[in-house]
Amino acid sequence: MDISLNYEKLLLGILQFIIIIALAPFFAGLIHKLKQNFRGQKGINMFQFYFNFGKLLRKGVVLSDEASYISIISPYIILSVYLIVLGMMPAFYIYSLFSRLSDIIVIVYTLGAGVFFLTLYSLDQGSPFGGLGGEREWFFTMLSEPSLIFIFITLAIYSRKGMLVSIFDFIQKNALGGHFSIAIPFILLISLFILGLSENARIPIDNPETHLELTMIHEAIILEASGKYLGIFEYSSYIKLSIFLTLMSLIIFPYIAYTPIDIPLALGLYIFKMAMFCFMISIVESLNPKMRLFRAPNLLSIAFIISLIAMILSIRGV
Amino acid sequence: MVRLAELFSVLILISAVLNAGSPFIKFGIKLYSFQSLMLALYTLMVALYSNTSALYLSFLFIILFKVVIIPYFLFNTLKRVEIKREIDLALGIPESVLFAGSLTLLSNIIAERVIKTTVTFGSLIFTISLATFLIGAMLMITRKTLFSQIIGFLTIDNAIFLAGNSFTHGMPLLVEFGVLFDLLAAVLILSLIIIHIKKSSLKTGLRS
Repeated sequence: MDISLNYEKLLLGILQFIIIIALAPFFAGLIHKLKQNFRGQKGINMFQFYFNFGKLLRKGVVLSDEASYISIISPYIILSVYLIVLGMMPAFYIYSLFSRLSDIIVIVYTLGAGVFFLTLYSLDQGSPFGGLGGEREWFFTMLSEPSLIFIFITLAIYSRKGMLVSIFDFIQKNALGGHFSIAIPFILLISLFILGLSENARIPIDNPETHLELTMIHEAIILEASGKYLGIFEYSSYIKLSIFLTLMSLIIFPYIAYTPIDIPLALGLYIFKMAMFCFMISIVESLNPKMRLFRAPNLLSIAFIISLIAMILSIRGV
Repeated sequence: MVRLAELFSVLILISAVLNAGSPFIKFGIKLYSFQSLMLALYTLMVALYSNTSALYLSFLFIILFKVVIIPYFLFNTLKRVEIKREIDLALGIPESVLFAGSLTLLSNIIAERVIKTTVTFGSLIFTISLATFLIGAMLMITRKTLFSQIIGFLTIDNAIFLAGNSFTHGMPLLVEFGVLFDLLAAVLILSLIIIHIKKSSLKTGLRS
């Protein structure tokens, strides 16, 4: 596949980038709304998270006296890390903005850099909860990162390509002709779903809504954040959710536009698939209790072995 | 059709791995039922592929016995002895899941060396059935309650069925019936033993 850019591709890539970023809080709000409807509550406005973000941006920042320059730079670094990874995803148009950058190893370790700065931030302000949250975050990342690498390597081995864009190009071309395995995307989807729940602090692993000391993982890290920085952290967590949902939607049923004419249909399908995954996540979150912290390795080890099985399948060339 | 058969066979392996990853007995029985359903659908695929009429009958009997009757008996027994989960495991949950994964890798290596001839849906089926067999044996060894050991035994049986169907285009119908009835009798006797152990509370090293 040719990934050299011209002006038209670049323009459409920027358009796609802006649309995905703008949609990210909508999906988080949709999950929240669906969960509240399951509980029998009326629920928030689906666009509530945009208002929250706007409100937080207007507020001032309070930093502790212990804080060093890490606290000032790391919100921007985390936001830019997730923006770069989201910019690599060919969500509905194949020539994504950072398509020439989208090597699979780069994606995994860029996400790792995000976690690194998140935990540095948690330690920097000297709060007792920050260290606790950072420790738990590393615990889960350490368990889930091997499976993420295996998922990408499975796709790379099966399609014999190294770039994310070329992998999904391969999958789409072969899936339409019926030459693509059903088993590999299906079990990758199971594994990726578990990873998405764990990485985005969703319910069986962590509860994003409470500030209870026993349960909080992600919330404990950003407990000290306020004002603009809190807004940036929340927005980057929506973008991270969007990254995982986009990957799932690309694996299960890729429909990516190659020409500008196909874009409206592809965009509609993209939003539909994302809404379906939001629905699934809200069902899982409503029906399951939160796990004990030390039962989480059970779930994550299952995700790891499932992606290992997928890798064996791809090596055998099903 | 070949793609669907692959999906079903992989799901058999995955349900065995999930069985190794959960200490809950009710969930284990449900997973066994799901695994047998996948085995039945796989048999249907082989029947459609090779056009063997005996395999359609085998499909129906698998659904009748393995998906409905045996889980029903197991659930009934479970209701009477009232245990919910495995209490002390010989091997922890993450360890046994990782062990199941390494058994899969091992059987992949063995299958690549052993199988040179073509099997119905590729030599992948041999990998999957061998891995499922080994995981079932692991369940029988590492679990301490009799229920999980029965589930391990039934998993081994499913693996043998899978291998038999893919190597031979189906065993003779009489043999399959014999195996199914044997299985049913074994499950009935084992349920009686479970209830007996529960009642007499013998210190046999086994738990109900």
